[in-house]
Amino acid sequence: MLKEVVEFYAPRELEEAHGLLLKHYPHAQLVGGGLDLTWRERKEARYLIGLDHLPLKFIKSEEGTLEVGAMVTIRELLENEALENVAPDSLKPALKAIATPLLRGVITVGGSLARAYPWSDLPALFLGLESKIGIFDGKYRVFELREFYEGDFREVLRRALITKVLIPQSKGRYFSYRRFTRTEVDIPLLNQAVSLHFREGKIEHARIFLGARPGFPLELEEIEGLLEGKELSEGVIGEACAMLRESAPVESDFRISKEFRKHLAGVLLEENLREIKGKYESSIQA
Amino acid sequence: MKKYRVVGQDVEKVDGRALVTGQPVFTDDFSLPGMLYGKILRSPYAHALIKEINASEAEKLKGVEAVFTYKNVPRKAYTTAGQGYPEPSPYDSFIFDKKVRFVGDRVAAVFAESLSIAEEALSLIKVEYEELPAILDPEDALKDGAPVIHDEPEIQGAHDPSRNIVSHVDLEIGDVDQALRDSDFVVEGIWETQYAQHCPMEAHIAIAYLDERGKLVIRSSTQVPFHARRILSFLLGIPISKIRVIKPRIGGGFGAKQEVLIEDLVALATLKTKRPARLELTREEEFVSSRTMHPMKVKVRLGADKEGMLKAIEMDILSNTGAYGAHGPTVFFNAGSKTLPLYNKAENVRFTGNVVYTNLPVAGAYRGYGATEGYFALECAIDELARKMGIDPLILRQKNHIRPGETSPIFKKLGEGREGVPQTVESCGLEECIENGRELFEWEKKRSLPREVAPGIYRGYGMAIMMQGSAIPLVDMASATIKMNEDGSFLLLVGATDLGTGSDTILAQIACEEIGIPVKNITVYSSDTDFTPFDKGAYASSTTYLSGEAVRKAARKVKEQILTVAHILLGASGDLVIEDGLVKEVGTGKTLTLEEIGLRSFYMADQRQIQATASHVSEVSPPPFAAHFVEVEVDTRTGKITPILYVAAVDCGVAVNPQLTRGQIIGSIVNGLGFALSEGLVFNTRGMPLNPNFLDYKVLSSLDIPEIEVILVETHEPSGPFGAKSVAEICINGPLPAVANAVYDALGIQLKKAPFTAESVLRLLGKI
Amino acid sequence: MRVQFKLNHKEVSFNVHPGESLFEVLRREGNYEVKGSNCRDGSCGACTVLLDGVPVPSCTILIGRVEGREVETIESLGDMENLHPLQRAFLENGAVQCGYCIPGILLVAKALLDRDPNPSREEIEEELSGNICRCTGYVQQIEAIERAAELLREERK
Ligand SMILES: Cc1cc2nc3c(=O)[nH]c(=O)nc-3n(C[C@H](O)[C@H](O)[C@H](O)COP(=O)(O)OP(=O)(O)OC[C@H]3O[C@@H](n4cnc5c(N)ncnc54)[C@H](O)[C@@H]3O)c2cc1C
Repeated sequence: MLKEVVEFYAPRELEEAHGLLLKHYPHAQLVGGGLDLTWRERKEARYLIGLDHLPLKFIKSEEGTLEVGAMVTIRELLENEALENVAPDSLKPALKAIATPLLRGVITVGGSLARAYPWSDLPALFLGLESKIGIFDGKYRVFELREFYEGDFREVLRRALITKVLIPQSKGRYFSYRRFTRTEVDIPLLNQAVSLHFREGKIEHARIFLGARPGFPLELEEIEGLLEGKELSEGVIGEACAMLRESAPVESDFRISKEFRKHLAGVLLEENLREIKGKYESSIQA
Repeated sequence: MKKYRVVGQDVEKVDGRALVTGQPVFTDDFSLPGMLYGKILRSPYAHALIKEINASEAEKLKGVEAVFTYKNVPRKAYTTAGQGYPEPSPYDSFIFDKKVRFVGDRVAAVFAESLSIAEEALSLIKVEYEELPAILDPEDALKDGAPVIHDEPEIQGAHDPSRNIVSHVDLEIGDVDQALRDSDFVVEGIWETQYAQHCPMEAHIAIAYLDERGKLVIRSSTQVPFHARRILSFLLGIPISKIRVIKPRIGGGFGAKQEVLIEDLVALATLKTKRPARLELTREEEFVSSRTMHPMKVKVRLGADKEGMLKAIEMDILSNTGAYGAHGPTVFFNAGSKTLPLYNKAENVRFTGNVVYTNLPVAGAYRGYGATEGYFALECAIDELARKMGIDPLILRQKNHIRPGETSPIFKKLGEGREGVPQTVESCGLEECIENGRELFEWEKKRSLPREVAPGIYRGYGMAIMMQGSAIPLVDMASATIKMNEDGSFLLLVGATDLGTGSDTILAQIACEEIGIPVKNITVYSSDTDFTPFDKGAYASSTTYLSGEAVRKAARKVKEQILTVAHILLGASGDLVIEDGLVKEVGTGKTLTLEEIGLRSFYMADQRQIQATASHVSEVSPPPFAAHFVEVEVDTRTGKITPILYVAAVDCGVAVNPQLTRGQIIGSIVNGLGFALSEGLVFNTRGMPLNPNFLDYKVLSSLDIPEIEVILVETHEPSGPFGAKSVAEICINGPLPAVANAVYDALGIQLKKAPFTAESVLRLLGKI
Repeated sequence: MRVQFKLNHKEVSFNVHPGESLFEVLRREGNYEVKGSNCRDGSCGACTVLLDGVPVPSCTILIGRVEGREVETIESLGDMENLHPLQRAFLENGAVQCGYCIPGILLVAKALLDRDPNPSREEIEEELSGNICRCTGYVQQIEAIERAAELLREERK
C-alpha cells in the first residue's frame, strides 16, 4: 500500500491532468499501469493522477507514422496488426519478450518510457526505430526520442505528460532487436536495436542502440560509421562485431560481468545484422 | 502382483475441488476480529553486536500493541529445525539475541493494529550496532583466527563452535588410500552447489489466538505441526496441553517449512496482548531470512579396476549451514548416506567433512536433503571415470549399482547425524529404470549423432542414476485414526501433513483399499495437534511409506471390527469381504450395508464407536531408485544451455496414485533444472543478498521446461503399504549431474559449479 | 474514498484508501479466493484477476484504476458442484498440487481459451509464463489446458 497517498484523481482532459500535476508538484505521480508505483512502493507519492480516462489509448497510422498513445499496454500493442507495417517480423517478438504476459497487460508505453530503466526494452526499441515522443506540458510538443533522452527528461516529466510515441514506418528501413536473458522470462541483461537504411545495395544510414549495459541505451556511433557506405557483407559484419567486442561501452553488475557483456554485444550485433541481411536480400529478390 | 481397487488409481485429489474453486483453505484465508499484524526488524549487518536497542518510540506509536527485542523475551538456546526429539541439530538459536549473525537476522518484532503501523514502528526502533568481522566464505570459517560466530555459552550440540564447526565426520570402511593406489583408474574433482531457495508460492505465515479455554491456538503454514507444538512449549515455557497447532492447506514447503520460524513471535504477541496476531514473511524475507539449501563443496575421488568395477569411493564435504545450524548435521550425513550405497560394489568407502557456520543466510531442509549436492559430485565423477576408461557411462553404472537382496555398510554407519540402521534392499527396479529409460531416450542412437547441429549449436546427452530413502528408520513415528459414522462413511484423522503433495489423497486411498470402500466414503482431516494423532510431519520422503502404513494398520483394525459385527448380523460362519462399501459373505452371496452396521453400533446392540488408531515406526528406509536422461542444446556463442528432452524412469514401489506420482516427479525435476540452469542467491562483499526477488532469482517458467517423459517402473516393497515406497524427493537429485554430463558430452567442458550460467559456460570454453 | 465496480458480475462499492491495490481491497473485503501476492511486483501471478477480461496481477493495480470496470475472480468460473471444464480438466490431469497458484492460472487459461478456443502448445506455454508454479513443473497444467480446450469445443458443438 502506498501509505502517503491522499487522493486519486481520474481526470478526463489532458489539461486537467496537467493542472493537477502542477498543482501538486512535487508530490504528484501519474499512473499509467501503476506497476512501477506499486512495485517500488514510492513513498513520496501523495497525489495520484490516473490516466485511464484520458484519450491516450489509441493506435493509429498517419502519414507513414504509427502513433501509439501513452496508455496503450504492451499487450494491446502486440494485438495490433499495424505493428507489422513498422518493422515486419521483428517488433512483435521483441514486445513479446517483455516481462510476462500478465505484466504486459499492465505496463503502458507511457509508463515504460517515463520510468526508462536503463535495462528497459521500450526505450531501446523505440530509439532504434528512430521514434519521436509526444508530450504535453500545457502545449503539445513532439521531440526526437533520442534528443528527449539526451536532455534532462526526468526533470521535464515532473511537469509534463507523455502522450504518445510516433514511429516512422519508413519503407527502406530494416530493423532487428535482440535481448540477452538468463531464462525465458527475464529482464534483458543486454539489449540492442539496429535500424539500417539501404541505398543501391549499400548501407546509407545506420542506427544502433545498446541498452542494459547496464546503463541507459547508448548510440554506437563508431559502429554506425563503420557500416555506413558499405555493403552488408559477411566481412563487414565480422569487422563490426569484432570492433564492438573491443569497444562496447559496458560494465559489470551482479548479474553478469563486463567481459561477458562485451562478448554478448558482439553476438547480438552479429544476430541483428544477419537478420537484417536476410530480410534485405529476400526483399531485393522479391 | 495383486490387483488393487483403489490403490494404483488416479483418484481425484480429495482437496482438489476446494483448491480449483479458490476456497478459503490457506492459513491467511481467514481473519479474526482485533487481529494484530506483525513485522520483523532485520539486521543490516552480516555480523554485529547490538550495543544498544531502544524501542520506546516504537512502543509509543499509536496502534502498536507489542514490541519484542532480546530484552523482553525468554533467553533459551533452541533449534528451529522441526525434527524428532531430541533433535540432531544444534541448539544455537534464540528468539532474539544481542548478536546478529547474518544480513536479515532477527533484531526485533512489532505487532500493531495494521501492517503500515507495524512498518512505521520498525523505523522508530533505534539500534546501535558494533560491526564484527564476518565470514562470507565457508573456507574461511575453518581458518585459524577466524571470527567465532557462536560464542554464546548456551550453545549445545555443535561439534566445535569455537572453530565454527557444527558437525564433523571421519568415516572409513576398508582402506581407501590403498584401494586408490591399487586402482587402474582414478578420478577426482570438487563440485559446488549454490544458495538455492525453495520459493513456495505461499510464504511462511502464522496466526495465533486464544480460544475460549485460554488455550493458545496457532494456525500455521507448517510441515511439522507436532514438532512446532513441542518446540514452542519448550521455548515459551508453556505446557503442551496449552498449545494447539492447526495446519490448514499449505501453499508448498519443499522443506522450508520443516522449521519453526515465526510461530514463536505470534505466540508471544498473543500471550502478551490476548489478541489474535498474524505474521507473514515477505518474499524478500522468504529468500533471505527463512531457509535455503545447503551450499556444499563436495570432493569426490573414485578408483576402479580395468573391468570397470569400483574399488574405492571417497567423499569429502564442506557444507555451509549459514548463521545457524538447523538441519546442518543431518543434511550433511544424507549427502553420503543417500548416495554412497548406490555403488555398493566399492568395498572401500570414506566419508569425511565439516559443516561450518558462516555469516550468510541459514540453510535448512530442502527436498533432496543433501543427496542433491552429493549426487551432483558423485554422478559427474562417474561420468568422468567412464570417459577415462573409454566406456559408456551407462554401462559403468550398470556394472556397479546396488541390486535387490544386497546391502551396503553405509546404511549402518551413516544415519541422522549419528549411526544409521542396517538394511537389505528388498525392492529395487534400478536395472529396469536404466533399461527402460535408455530405450525411450534412444541413448546409443543419440550418442552416435554429430553433436554440432547448426553452426555454433551443440547437442549433448547425459544421464545420472540415484536413490533416496523412505522415512527415517527407528526414529520417526506416524499414526492415524479411523472412525466410522452411522451412515457407513468414515473419517480419517492424520497428523501427516499434506503440504500440496496430495498425501491426504494417497492416505485416503490406502485406508479405502484396506477397508474395501470407495474414496468418496471417507473424509480426511490433516492436521491438528488437538484432534489428529501424532505424526512427525512431512519430510524425509515418509508420508506415503510411513504414515501410509499407519493408516493401513488402523484401517485393518477398523475392518476387523466391522466384520465382527457383520458376522453377528449375518449369522455367518464363513468368510466375509468388504467390496465397494458392501459386506458380502463369500459363497452365500448374502450382503449387508455398512450403514446397517454403523446404525446398529451406535444405537442398537453391542453399542460402540467403531474406530481404531494405529502407529507405525519403520525398521528400514527402503530407497526408491531412478535413472534420468537429458538432452541439452548449448549455444556456444552465448553460452546458453537449453534442456530439450528429459526422461525419468522411477521405481517408487507401487505408485498409489500414478498421476500424483508423476506430478511429484516432474515437479522435482523442474526444480532441479532450476538449480542446474539459473537459481541462486548472489551476495555483495558485505554478505547482503542482491537478488531476493523473482525479478533476479530466476525460477523456471513454463517456457523454460523441456519435454519431460516419466516412466514408472513398479516394484513391490514388502515393508510399505501395498508395496509403496516414496517419490517426493528423489528426482530433484538428477538434473544437476545429468545436465552437467550432457554439456560435457556436447562440448567437453566440465561444469562443476551450479548454476551453469551462460557466462560460466563461455569461460570454460575460453571465449571470455 | 469510495470505488464502485463490477465484481463477478455484481455491482460492488467499497470504502478504500487511495494508495491500496486491488488485491489489498479484495482480500480485505473477504475475497479469499484471490491468493498470494507477496512477490510485490506481479511476477508470481498468484493474485491474478481478470480486469475487463484481461488477466493482470491484482497487486499491481491501484484501486483508483478499477472504478467502473469489471473484475472477475475464480468465483466466476464454477463452484464445487458445478466445475468449469477448466477446473475439471485440472483435477483430471493432476495439474493441482498445493493449489496456491491455481486460481490465477485458471483465470489466465480462461482468458486464453476465450480468445482462442484451440491454442497451440506453444501459445499455452507462453500465456502461462507469468504464473509461477513451484510444485507441478507446469507439464500437467499445460496438458490440462489442452484437455479443457477440447472439452469446451465439444460443449459448443
Ligand atoms: C517483474 C517485472 C518485470 C519487468 N520486466 C520488464 C521487461 O522485461 N522489460 C521492460 O522494459 N520493463 C520491464 N519491467 C519494468 C516496467 O516496464 C516498468 O516498471 C514500467 O514503468 C511499468 O509501466 P507502468 O505503465 O505500469 O508504469 P507506472 O507505474 O504507471 O509509471 C511509472 C512511472 O512513469 C510515470 N508515468 C506513467 N505514465 C506516464 C505518462 N503518460 N507520462 C509521464 N509519466 C508517466 C509515473 O508517474 C511513474 O513515475 C518489469 C517490471 C517488473 C515489476
